[in-house]
Amino acid sequence: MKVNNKALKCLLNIDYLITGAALVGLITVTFLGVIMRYFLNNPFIWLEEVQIWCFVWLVFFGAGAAFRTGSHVAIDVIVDLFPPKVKKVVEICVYLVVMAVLFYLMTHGSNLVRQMANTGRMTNILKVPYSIIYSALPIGCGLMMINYTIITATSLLTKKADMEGGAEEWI
Amino acid sequence: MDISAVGLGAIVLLTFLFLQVPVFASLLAGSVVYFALTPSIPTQIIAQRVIAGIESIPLLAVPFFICAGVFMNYSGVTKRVMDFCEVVTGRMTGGLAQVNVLLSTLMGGLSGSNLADAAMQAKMLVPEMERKGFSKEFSSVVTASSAMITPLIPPGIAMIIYGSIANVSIGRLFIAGIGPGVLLCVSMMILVSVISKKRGYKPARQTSVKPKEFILALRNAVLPLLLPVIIIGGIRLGIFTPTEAGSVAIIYSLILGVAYREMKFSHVITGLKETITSTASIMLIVGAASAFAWILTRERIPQQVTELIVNMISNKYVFLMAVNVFLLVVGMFIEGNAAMIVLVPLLAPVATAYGINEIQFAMIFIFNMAVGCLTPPMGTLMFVTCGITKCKIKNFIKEAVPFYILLFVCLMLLTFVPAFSVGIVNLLY
Amino acid sequence: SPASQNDGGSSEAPGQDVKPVVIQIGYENHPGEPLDVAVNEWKRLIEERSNGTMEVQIFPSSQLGSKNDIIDQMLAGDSVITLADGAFYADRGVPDFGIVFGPYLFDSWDEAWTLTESDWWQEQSGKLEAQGLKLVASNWMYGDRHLLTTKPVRTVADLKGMKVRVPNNTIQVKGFEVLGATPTPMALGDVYTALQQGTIDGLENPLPVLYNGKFHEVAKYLTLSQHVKNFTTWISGVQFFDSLTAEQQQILIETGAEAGIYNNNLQDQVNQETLEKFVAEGVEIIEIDLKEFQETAEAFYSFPEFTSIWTEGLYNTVKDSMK
Ligand code: NA
Ligand code: NA
Repeated sequence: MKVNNKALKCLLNIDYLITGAALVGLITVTFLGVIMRYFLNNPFIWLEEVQIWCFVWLVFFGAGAAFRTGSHVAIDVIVDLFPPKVKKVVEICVYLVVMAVLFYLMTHGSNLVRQMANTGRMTNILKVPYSIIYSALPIGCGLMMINYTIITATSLLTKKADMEGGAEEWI
Repeated sequence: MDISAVGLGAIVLLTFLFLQVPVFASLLAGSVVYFALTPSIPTQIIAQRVIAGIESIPLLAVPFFICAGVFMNYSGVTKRVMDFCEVVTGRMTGGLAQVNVLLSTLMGGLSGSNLADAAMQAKMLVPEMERKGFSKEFSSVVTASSAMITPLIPPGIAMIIYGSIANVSIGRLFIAGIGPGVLLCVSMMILVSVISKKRGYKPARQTSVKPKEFILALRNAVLPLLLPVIIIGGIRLGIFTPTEAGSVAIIYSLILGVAYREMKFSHVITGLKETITSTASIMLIVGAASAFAWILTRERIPQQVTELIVNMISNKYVFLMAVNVFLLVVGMFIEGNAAMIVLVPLLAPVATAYGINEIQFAMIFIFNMAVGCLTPPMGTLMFVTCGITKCKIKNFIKEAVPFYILLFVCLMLLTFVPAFSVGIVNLLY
Repeated sequence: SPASQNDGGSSEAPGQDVKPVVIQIGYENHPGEPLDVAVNEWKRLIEERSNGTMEVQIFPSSQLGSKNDIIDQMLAGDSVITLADGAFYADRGVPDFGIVFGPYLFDSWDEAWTLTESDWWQEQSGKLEAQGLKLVASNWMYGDRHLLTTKPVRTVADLKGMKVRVPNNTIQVKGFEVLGATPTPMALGDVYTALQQGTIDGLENPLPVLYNGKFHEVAKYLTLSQHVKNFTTWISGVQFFDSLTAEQQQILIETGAEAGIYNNNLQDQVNQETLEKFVAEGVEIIEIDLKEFQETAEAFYSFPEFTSIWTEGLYNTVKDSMK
């Protein structure tokens, strides 16, 4: 399925922008951290805070994109033994299970974010609110649900069972 | 009642796992069942445990070493190291198959991921091997099984994850991998040579290598081959931590890519994207598995397991053999990182109770998980390789039997001879 | 705050065998450390006093998560208790609490204990309760924090420019900056190699931590700097605490204080033994002129990072409260 709408295409790739920035930031601060500490005697005292922040965002904002590239591992050997019709039913059931689990995690992740906001927890040195850092979890669950839905719909409609093929075109 | 909630959670987890529910979602579903049946525990803790599993500085090394490995593939490094391997193994029986094994070992120093290694060599080397008369099955088997060496040679992602959950020094685990890695490399090269002699697979080249040629190949490969030395040396000298070593490796691979004039900006973008999706999928499993592991801890399952095993088994070697059988089976079915996060907290304390060296136990654990990648039904290395070379799984398994035997012998050496894993560590620390 | 009666009490209506309340105590220390031994004593006391209506499960070695994780768990309503100190409460909406971790705040342990009995402490505890955290016990000694270094530190001048590993929080970072050192946050697990290779010049902690990490193999000078009298507190969530009966609440608090005394005796003994071990293993023990360090550290209490978030005149209030 080609996504022709340019706006939609941008929207679908915005997660790459955020995670790309997080990854480049992560690499940069870590590498500079070594130089500052060992060679310039002037360590970044906020290093760990920023690393954790980038890492959490990298993982959860990237989790939806990982559906597009078929990077989420699953055991298919048993299902592969089933006849095609049963396979399709299994695929739909798997879809429902994953959506339910992600919805559950999204709901309780939002509660966690709300708790962070209510109790005003902040990182120690830069005072970044944890509600911002942790908001990646519910947002990430939402992104995964959107991506997974598009992938499953594409796969069911085009009868192309493998995730890898159909998705690459968006990227 | 809470115990039955754990039991039900575990059943749901395994059922979903085999019905093609993604690994992370199966682990989450198992945890959801537990939380739903245990109202006394506030539910947002599930979200907290998923995040907490990811909020770990040592695990930052995962994206770093993935990224470094991907960049290496674009930087022209692989080609240079391959030429070097060809010169080294030049006149050996089995030619390109020997190159294949040696290449995985040397690339092990640059990359932490066995899948990336297998995929790359299945694309680059196998067609070449087939042209030189090797069978498709043999080429695939050599590629997949030698890729097992890559994560054993430092850096390796499994060691980073193991070290961070069991609180074992990652620097030491890195070094501990060298022994088994080299052992596998040498024994696989011997096996390849025996099989090749029988089948008449020819050496890569007919003429002997001139010293001048050797020096030229070495000079081309020397910068990439320096990276493991930089990593181990830097960690050992306290300049950077194993995690930070990952960022150094990335910068180094970028510099090589620019120096060799092979890396384009578009490669960097593609590399970053690959890193992002691989990291997200691995770390999501790590987070989900730590939620489930928290449930086991909260229900005091590790303590009970320890008590049970220690009461049942009195001898540490009997225990290790039991662990080997158990882990081999687990490794066949469950993704290695997830298995590690759930099972290490269960088994590592028991091993300590038997007085087994923590590094040796870690290596036994990691080795078992690595073997699982080569065996059906969930052999990721096998699938990736066969997927690219279009080799039939049935034929692959038949051809792989001598390699399975070899791996088993190595596992026994690891189990009964601590020096293989601990020796070099003791020497260096 | 009025100790509200149990609102979860309806579950025991049938009056038959009541399921005991299960409490999880989680902390970062490992089995066998004095603190762990004292927690086991606490568990014994609680279960004995409560006649089986309370059960305690112990989770050492961060099994339930980091300190911050456990605090978040109790804020969500879980039945956990954990160990935390002023530096943590400062990040949890009670900034004034951070001052108890400031350098050379106390001249003696008695001053620390007097402070925990004072009105000021009561007031802060109340603020913490408003944030959802209930102080269960406040009299647990963690130890004097001292300095272990690769070069001898006898005066404040010796410390100038030395890279000292500190835990990753503002109060401890600034506490060493004020003494002229370069504070270097780093995971404790990396410290040994870092010392050996000269990446850092020293670290600070109570004696047992310094000894158990074998850091003296690579850093031979122990300065008895006593820069922080590190006492620690046990907290639970207000929500969980209020779900207990008044009697159970009382048992928890009484036994917590008793186990605290048990802990403090144990800590004194272990500290003495540890110091002897250091001497026996060839570490030079350096006594310092405390006065010089105390005077240098005083500037800490007027750092704008702190005065901007602290109640005005906090330092004097606290100093008065410990007399
Ligand atoms: Na190979
Ligand atoms: Na490697």
